[in-house]
Amino acid sequence: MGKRREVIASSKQSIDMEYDDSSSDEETSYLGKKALLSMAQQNSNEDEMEVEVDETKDKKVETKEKDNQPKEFKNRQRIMLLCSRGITARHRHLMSDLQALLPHAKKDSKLDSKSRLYILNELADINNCNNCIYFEGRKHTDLYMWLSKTPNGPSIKFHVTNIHTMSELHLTGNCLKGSRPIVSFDKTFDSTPHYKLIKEVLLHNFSTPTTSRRIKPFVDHVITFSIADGRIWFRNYQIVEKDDGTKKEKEMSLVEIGPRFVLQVMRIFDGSFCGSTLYKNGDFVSPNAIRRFQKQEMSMKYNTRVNKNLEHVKRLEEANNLPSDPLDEVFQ
Amino acid sequence: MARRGKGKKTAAQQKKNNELKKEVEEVSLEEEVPKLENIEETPKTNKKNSKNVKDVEKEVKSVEENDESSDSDNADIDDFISEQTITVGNGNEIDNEENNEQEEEENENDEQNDNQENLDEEEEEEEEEQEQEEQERPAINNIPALNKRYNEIRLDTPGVKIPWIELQAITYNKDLGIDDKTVHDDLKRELAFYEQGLAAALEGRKKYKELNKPFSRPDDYFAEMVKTDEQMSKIRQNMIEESESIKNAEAAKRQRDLRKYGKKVQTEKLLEKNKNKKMEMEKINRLKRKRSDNNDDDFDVSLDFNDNDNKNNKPQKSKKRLAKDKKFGYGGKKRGSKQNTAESSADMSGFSHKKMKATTFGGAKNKKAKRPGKNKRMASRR
Repeated sequence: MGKRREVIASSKQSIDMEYDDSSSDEETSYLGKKALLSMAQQNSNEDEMEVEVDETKDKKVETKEKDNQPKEFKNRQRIMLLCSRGITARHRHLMSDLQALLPHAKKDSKLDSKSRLYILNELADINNCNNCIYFEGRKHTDLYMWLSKTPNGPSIKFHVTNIHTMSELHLTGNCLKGSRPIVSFDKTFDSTPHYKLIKEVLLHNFSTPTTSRRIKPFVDHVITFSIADGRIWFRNYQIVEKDDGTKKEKEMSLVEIGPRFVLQVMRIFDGSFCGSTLYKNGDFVSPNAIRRFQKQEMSMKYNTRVNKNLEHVKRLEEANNLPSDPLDEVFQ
Repeated sequence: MARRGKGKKTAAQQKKNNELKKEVEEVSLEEEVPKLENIEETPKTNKKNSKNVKDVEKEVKSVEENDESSDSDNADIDDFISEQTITVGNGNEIDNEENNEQEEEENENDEQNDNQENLDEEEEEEEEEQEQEEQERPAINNIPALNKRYNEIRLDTPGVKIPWIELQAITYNKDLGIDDKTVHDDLKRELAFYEQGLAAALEGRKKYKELNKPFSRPDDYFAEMVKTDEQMSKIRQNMIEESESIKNAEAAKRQRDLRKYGKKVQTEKLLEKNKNKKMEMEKINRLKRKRSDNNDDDFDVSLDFNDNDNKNNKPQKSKKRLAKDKKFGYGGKKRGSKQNTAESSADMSGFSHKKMKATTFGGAKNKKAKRPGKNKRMASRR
């Protein structure tokens, strides 16, 4: 497996080289491919599969080249959507909601291991996905969301809070399944590099490509990402248009469809589910720590009470501990 | 399995050497590290030192280097795995000592490789540190690397023109107007989000109009929706129930308010009633006085009662009362009414001769023989 990752990393490098070279003409890309092929040959001594992987990589390189030409821009995003074992029903519902909202998402079965996340890169590759949304449930209470650009990264880890799913009755809106949303970002996203990066990744994930198979025409919902309190707030609204007949344009209003959730950035990794940390949120306090503090506070209360009792007993003892009277035993 | 063990140990060592780490930060990249304690520290320091340099060097790095590093990378991944598993368990240090000796050698070998290709390792090493750093919580913000990453993945690279419709992304240029205080105010916060969404939707519609593409769904276009009909009917029912409950609550509130004022209203009504009664009584009295000028008899008033309601409300006297009044008198002077007069004393109508004879003075006529007194009875016995 390590080998394969190596291959991926090297192919990434070759891609990097191409991007860096502004003149990205045929020759350099050819060189890159050549390097790749030589790599593949070296590796193929052990495993045939790896060669295949390399070839697919090659194809991807070609497609990326095409993307560089201005007229043929195609937003090719496919998302692999999956979760870890041990998520709660609410978390599962949230995931199925996202699946309903993202026609370009492919849902995969639950991931067994929480430690070997790099498997996801291969899984995504198998599913022909270049994005991955991975929900990681911990302790049956906390939910973490990974957004990753597989296979080369970056990946972002969020802590998800304040989850409201679509099935809640107070979220009354509805929209076509598979209609392409308008994705709205708060301007704070352009303020810092890490938010910029997050915005880009969110855009890749939540803006539906025009080429996706299951899309429907018309625009009837808006997805908003807003930053408040150092967190990213997700909302999904239905666009309702009412025709008065008086005005030229129909009057527009929004009704919330759901789901709702709040994302707090924990880290941004250089690679996909691996790599060095590019950003780490200093404000993030893990839910474990919060719970610990709460417990500590509770125990403090108890401890003070116990200590008080102890002091009382001590004082009583001191009071009772009178100096012995020498005449006490005289008359016995 | 030795590798796994090694990973455990490295984790333990990292924890132990947290403090040492800072001291050794000056250690250069190429320094040889013979002892076990230092082995762990070098990669970290390397990493920190090289973090900024890394980006540049990465590009320069050749493919051959990668090739060489493949072995060590393998090991590192295993390290990473075991590290992760350990942090869950946290019972690492006991196991470590068993494997200590074997691993020392391995570690040294690995570390030599590490020193050569520390650039590659950084990625894995960082993740090993994850849990520890989370405890220490130093913020990281590697801006150049972030920018580089952003430029790598961004879709709108220079030279690429993306039609808006491909992404349908809109940036909301106004300030949300949410600060630390209002963020907990649900209404204000949601309103801000709503406005952001609405602005985006309006702009989106405009852009669709410009492109001459259909924006809004026609009423006769039916397709699968995100929420099922069942769910929507549930929602509708819930809405109805909610509005009903609101209505009911309002009605109950009104009722409560009314009850609060009810007493006030009641007393007012009572006062008014009394006032009316008084007025009417006055009217009646006035009428009565008028009548009494014409007719002496009270009965006439009562006879007239039916004819004219306003005339009299006075209750009629019963026959008994009238008889008694006739007998004992009603009204007028009371004094001397029971005194004898010449006429009354001369009146012998109540006197009867027979009655006079029938009874003795102070006794009944046919009186039974009384039992004789005790003295007499005693005397008769003798």
